[in-house]
Amino acid sequence: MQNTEFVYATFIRTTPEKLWAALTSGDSSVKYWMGFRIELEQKVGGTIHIYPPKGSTHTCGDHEGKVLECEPNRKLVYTWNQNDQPDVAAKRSGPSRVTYEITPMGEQVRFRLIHENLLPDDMEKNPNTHRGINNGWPAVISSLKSLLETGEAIAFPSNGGK
Amino acid sequence: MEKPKFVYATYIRTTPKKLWQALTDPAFTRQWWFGTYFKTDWKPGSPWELIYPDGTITDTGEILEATPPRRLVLKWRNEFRPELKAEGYSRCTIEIEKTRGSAKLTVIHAMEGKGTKFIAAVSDGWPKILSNIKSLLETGEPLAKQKL
Repeated sequence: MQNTEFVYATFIRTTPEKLWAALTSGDSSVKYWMGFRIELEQKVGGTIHIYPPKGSTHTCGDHEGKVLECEPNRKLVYTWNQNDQPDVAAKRSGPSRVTYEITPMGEQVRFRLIHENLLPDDMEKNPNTHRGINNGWPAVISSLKSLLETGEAIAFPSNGGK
Repeated sequence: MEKPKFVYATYIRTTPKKLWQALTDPAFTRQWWFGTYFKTDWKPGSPWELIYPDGTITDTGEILEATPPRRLVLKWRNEFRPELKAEGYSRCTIEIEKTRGSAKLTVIHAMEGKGTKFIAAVSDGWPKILSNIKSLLETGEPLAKQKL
């Protein structure tokens, strides 16, 4: 059953435009997304790639997916495709789906991430790693908030360890 | 059926000691928690109260574990809203870990009973509160002084 979902909200002192730019730009994502570079066609039906850092040991592939909804500065929905291990690939009937929701609130912005249509296997029980949807997103989003508020992202080890 | 639970992790560019202080010292807590603070001596077995700026006691409980600056476990019940108070006690675990470049703060808030309204309420509140702590510790200013 692919009905596992992960939701994460944070509040950032920034503008919807700056947050959107950081979320959709590869030059920004390499700073807060552990070296991963996003390339995105900002239109429905456009492709999205999330390229792992050069020379990394990641086997997750470039997450090639499709943009389902694109409302600049407000909402982005895309499909999330990663290279599964064979036993997980056998269970997966379709890609999972990521939604970014941006809501202006005066001098700050609420950013809500929804990752749905997941398998239980996509979640990681061990909290001491960045592997797993539930561990990866909080680290990436925390680093994004630091980048937007202080000019500096949080550097994490890129291979999932501490 | 698993009991209702809220889990949230955030990484803050600070030290575990500063983060512990932000959470437990009223002079700091008031800065990011909209003027609210914990009134307690933080000793295991002691009671605690969460006090609003106008003196209203909004939540109460007991300190179950306190290991500065790493771990805090609180028995927690809302006093302010009758439908939340009726759901009874929850258990709130706050863990602070030093990681490379930051401190990781994890909040796990779980009901002891089956009620879901309290967990829904804290699921809405914690991200705002924790975002405020992060902004205060990283930039010197919280996001908001007034409740959103």
